[in-house]
Amino acid sequence: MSRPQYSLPNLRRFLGACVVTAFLVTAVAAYYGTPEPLPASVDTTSDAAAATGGPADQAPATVTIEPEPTAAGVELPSEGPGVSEPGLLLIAAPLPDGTWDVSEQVMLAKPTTSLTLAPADISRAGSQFGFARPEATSVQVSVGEQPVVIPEARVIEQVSADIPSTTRFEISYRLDGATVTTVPSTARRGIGAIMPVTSGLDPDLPVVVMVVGETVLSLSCPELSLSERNCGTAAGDEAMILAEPLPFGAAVVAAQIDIPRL
Amino acid sequence: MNPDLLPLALGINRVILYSGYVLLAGTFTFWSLVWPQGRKDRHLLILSIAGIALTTIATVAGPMIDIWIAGMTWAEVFSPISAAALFVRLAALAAAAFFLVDIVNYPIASWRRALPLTIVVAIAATMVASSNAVGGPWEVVKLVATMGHVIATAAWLGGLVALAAVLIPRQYLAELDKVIPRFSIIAATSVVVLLVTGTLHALAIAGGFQELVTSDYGIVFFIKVAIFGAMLLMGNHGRKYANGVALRAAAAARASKEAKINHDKLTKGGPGMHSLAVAMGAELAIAFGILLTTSLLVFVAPH
Repeated sequence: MSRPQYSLPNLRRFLGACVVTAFLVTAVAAYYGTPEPLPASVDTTSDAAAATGGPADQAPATVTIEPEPTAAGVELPSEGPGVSEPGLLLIAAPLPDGTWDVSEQVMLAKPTTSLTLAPADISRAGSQFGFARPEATSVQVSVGEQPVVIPEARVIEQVSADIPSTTRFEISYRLDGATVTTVPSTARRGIGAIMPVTSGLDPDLPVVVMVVGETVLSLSCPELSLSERNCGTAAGDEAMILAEPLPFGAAVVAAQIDIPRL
Repeated sequence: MNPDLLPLALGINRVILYSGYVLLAGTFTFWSLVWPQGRKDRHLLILSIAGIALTTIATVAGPMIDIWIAGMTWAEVFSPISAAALFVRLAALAAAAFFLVDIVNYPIASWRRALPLTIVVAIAATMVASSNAVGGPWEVVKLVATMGHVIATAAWLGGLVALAAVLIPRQYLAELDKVIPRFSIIAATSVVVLLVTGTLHALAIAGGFQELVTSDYGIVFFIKVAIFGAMLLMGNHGRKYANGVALRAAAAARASKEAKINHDKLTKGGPGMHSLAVAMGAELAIAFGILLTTSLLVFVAPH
């Protein structure tokens, strides 16, 4: 008596073939249905909750993938901390090599004659930065029109400098080693840890962080309470800014970006 | 969930994925290239089933962590290639699960090696497609190196696990004089491939020797190399020991008229086997260290 064609092994093989085929067909569909990673611009109509670093029960970042990024439309703050009142305004822009172009504008309540710079402890931005060693290079400091010399123009350890008595100074530098790639994720997706290199200021001094670039996706403030961590809001079409200033003692921002292409 | 736990969750998931892949691909490779007669060994079957289960869990859990916990969208998590790779891997795992019975029911020789080896290569390819080898400069070098690295890892580490699973119960010592030389060839080839591809891949990812030695990625890479070196020493010691034990067991079994008594003495007792088990256990522990440092390398890889 011959075995029936619908025996258990045959049924298993048939089911197996169906499942394998279904997955392969889905693979083809997923390949053609998934958009290529393109430079993304933040949808300015949303609150742009942080996609990474944000709590799971909050709305994810609304990101509009646009084939052609919109024209630049950055609105730099004309008032507020570091500009018209005591505080620090930090403006950072991601560069194609994963570094950041950063400037810090500082306005103090009382004049100072010394300036201290120190590498940021970006491990505070999250465990993924535990191995990161940020370095500020091409450091330029100016008090009014007068430049202040920083040895080797770099900050890899604490540096102090005497400056003319002032309530205002400005620092610009290239920040390296502060970006990690998000894995698994789309190509060029990363998170940058942004903190001032200016050190020794009043822990309560308000700090505003603005991240400029068409590939900035979200800002997260890891040292705030869970409900406040999605701390960025759109500033024009191609920038995000903190919705509320941070105290200097908690001025840590994780910016999710697509590292710009050359 | 605390966002700081996200990298931890992804890291744990990655270790599960690597472990599952090593178990599954290692056992399939071991059956196909080293010991086809062991296809019905219960321990190897358990290893392969565990490998299928762990790889499937990690393959599904990875995107779920990103989408549900990190709040990312499908388009943020996947590129077209990595999305396709996900489903191709699931297809390969389904093939492994549904056709495992067919694989072990017949001698895994000649053309019957095609199915298990195709499954291994398919899963390895999906891991490469989801890795940082895709894109950027030196893409072809990185892709080839990573593919060689992933397959050699399965052949060596997975084979080692399979060998331990066969050795430790001491049921097949008489066959070890055939199995160990075959495995030694696979292991030696794999070690050479791992050294070459690992170095090439690290240089390509870091962007050059200077960049490699001065970066965090380089530090973790050299830690991995040191652990790898320790494993080589341990493996060399263990395999020499295994070879000696196997030869003595086989010779004694052939020579003695009281073969069964002597065989039992040699295979089920004595300090030799205990030492060997300790050596292989240490080797496997070091192998786990390599998996951990490999998953750590992903986090510190330069962009």
